[in-house]
Amino acid sequence: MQSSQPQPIYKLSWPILFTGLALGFLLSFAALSGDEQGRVNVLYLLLVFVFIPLLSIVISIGSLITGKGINLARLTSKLPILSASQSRVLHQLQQKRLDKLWLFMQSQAAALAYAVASMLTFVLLLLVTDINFVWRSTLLDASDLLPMLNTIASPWWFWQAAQPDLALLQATQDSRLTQLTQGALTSDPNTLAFANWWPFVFATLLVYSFFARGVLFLVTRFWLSRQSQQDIQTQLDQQWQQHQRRQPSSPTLSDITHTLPSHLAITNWAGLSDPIKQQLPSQCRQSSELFAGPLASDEQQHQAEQHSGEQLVLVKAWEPPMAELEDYLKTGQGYLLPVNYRQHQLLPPETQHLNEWRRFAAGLNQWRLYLPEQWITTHD
Amino acid sequence: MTDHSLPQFAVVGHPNKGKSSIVSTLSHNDDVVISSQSGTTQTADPITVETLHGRYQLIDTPGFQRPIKVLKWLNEQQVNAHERAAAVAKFVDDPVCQQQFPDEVALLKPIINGAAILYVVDGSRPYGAEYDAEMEILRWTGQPSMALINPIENTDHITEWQNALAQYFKSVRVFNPMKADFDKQVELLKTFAHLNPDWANTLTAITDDLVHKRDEQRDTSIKILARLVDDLCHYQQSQKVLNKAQAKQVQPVLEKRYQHWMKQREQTAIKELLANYAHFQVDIDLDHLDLPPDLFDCSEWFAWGLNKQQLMYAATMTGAVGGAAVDFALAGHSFMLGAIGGGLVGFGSAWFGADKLVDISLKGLPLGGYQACIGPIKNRNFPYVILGRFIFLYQQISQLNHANRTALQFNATDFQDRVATLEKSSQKELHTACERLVKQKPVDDLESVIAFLFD
Repeated sequence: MQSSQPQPIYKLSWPILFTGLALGFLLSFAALSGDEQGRVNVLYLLLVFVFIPLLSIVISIGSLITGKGINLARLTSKLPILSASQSRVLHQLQQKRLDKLWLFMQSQAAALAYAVASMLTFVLLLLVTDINFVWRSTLLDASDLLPMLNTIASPWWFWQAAQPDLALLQATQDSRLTQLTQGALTSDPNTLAFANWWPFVFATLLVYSFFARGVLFLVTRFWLSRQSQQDIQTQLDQQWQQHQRRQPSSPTLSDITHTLPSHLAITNWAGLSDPIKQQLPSQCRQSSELFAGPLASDEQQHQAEQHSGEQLVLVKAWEPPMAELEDYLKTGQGYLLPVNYRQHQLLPPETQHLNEWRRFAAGLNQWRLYLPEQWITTHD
Repeated sequence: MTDHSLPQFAVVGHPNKGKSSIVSTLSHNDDVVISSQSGTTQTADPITVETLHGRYQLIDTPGFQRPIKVLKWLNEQQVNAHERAAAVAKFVDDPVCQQQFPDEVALLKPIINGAAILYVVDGSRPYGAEYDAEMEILRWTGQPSMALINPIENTDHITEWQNALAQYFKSVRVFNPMKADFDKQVELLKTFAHLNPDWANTLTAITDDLVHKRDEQRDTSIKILARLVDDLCHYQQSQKVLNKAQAKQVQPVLEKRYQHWMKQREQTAIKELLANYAHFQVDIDLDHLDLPPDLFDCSEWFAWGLNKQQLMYAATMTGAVGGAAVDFALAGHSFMLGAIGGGLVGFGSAWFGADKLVDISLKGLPLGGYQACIGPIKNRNFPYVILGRFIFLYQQISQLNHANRTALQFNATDFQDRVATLEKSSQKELHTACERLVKQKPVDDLESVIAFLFD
């Protein structure tokens, strides 16, 4: 049913992803480049790799729950960068009131791209340059900072190399005034300590940018899928798919004969009254009459069943053939005449009734369906 | 093991008297096989109707095939009146009877297990004494029963049947499964409660649920239409081309694709509407459905949407609303010229733009080349046409009984009257919403705006 709109709602939007990726490269490169001596302030990195991602998560979740779902993806989608198919998907999602969730999911994907770009930049710069991690503060000293860093590092408690310690903090505290008085960093005995921050920074990036967004992305995708499945259009589509249309059956129909042999017995199975019988064509009113069927007595029924010659069995055209008639016909041979009447006036049988008798007669070897010539024009 | 607290109704009778039709209509289920061919139902098929607060079963049974012989067998048991039900149970359990009378065994079994009887006859044909045997067999079961007269072709013999049936059944009702509207169906379900007092509470809860579901189906229909009209009014087909000459070449292809999408979208909405009312077997070829008049036949739009006069009124109204906003902004210093001018502009554009269908435009691309675009349709009447066609289908489909599998008919309807009889405030909301749709502006709460059309 949805064949005209096959665009998957889970497809990631490349423009939105690219925005996240570009932001990740730019911000990470700016933060990791440092000064001429390659000094990078760890506190700045925490701002870029912990504070900004956490703040944006809080803002986007808050706006998803309460407001209009303001996030990076929504802002990006305002620009004319979405393809026609993506715009159509967004339009459909707006109708289903799932646009906020979709944009939230796209936003998490963009944040994941941001995290990947940041990690790539970080690893690349670690490989090709000497990043010297330092920290500076006018108000804080190493012992003030340690509890906060320990809290940040608690998710990777098992990775000892990535845990901050007081000695490292004290060794890497920097002052621009010291540089002027003590000269270049290479002469400092603690030079190697400046590189020891990288596992901590990498773990920060991995946990607060990559894993947090990854989990949010998967949860949102699942939620979106669930909400989409519950949408009335999806449900109606599923119902439609579950019901296969039946093809009408085409049963075999017997031929109709319009002539009767000169000698045969008339069996009044339908219990037709005399006024009706008298309206039948003359060949259907022969002298020998049998009485069988639901209204016949046991004796009459038995007598009819013993008849060995051909019979013309009169039945009500509108009543479908029943098994008790079929039982009776098994022992004899001859013709069936479906008789129709209204208000004691004889009428040709109606097509749908006649077809039912033709279907019945098609399964009988010894019997043929008879219709007087007067009624031919109606059905032939 | 039979659950006696579950209301069960065995629908029995002569072959081809509409038993399956009654089951289909009352259960709102068109999966029940209905055929003019007798003997289509060969086993007793229970159809469970389940709602939020209860469920009941309708059992579609084979027709009587050898009632005379069965009654003879029962009479041969020579039992007293209080043993008759036991004799029927014996008949059902007898292996020889199961072989000789499979249809009667199949239809009597659920009754012996506690189902109430709904005996169906055709009120358009005369009563015949051959029916007495069936009714007598059913009387032997001692189960609560009701007779339903189904006037298949006409109502000529209803009185005759009522007199005959009253001899065997306490309750006799006329019920046409092809035509009975929803209220009549609910009314009949309510009378079933009288057959067994233990089932009364369940059946009352079920009928209440069905009424509630009916309202939900209406709300869903509104949602389907809101999405349809929104989609059709926004859709655009485009293709990148190298130059203006190529744009001209692709124009027919674009037009074809555009029309195909629009028609497909409308057909999807119709399928959704059918599924909403659980009509899956309606005789309608949805793959080739092309509603007459064609969606793109502008000359017919005045039959389906608004007429020219109404369209002028709508345009004047929405134009005046826009102008009035200017007056308001100027704190009345425009002497209401904004409202009057806006109204006149709206009137004029509606008159001169009435036959305008769809624009084909060519946009230059920043990296070179062009984009040939077709759509969206800017004609003011277009949203009304979509609304009118859908409302007409909604009326048909929502009223269609599940036993009725005949093809749907498509004709212009009273949509214009429907709009004309709306309250002024509702008309204004509708016209404003349609104006916004034509201009591809978002419409807040379109569903509530069009809901009035479904009353």
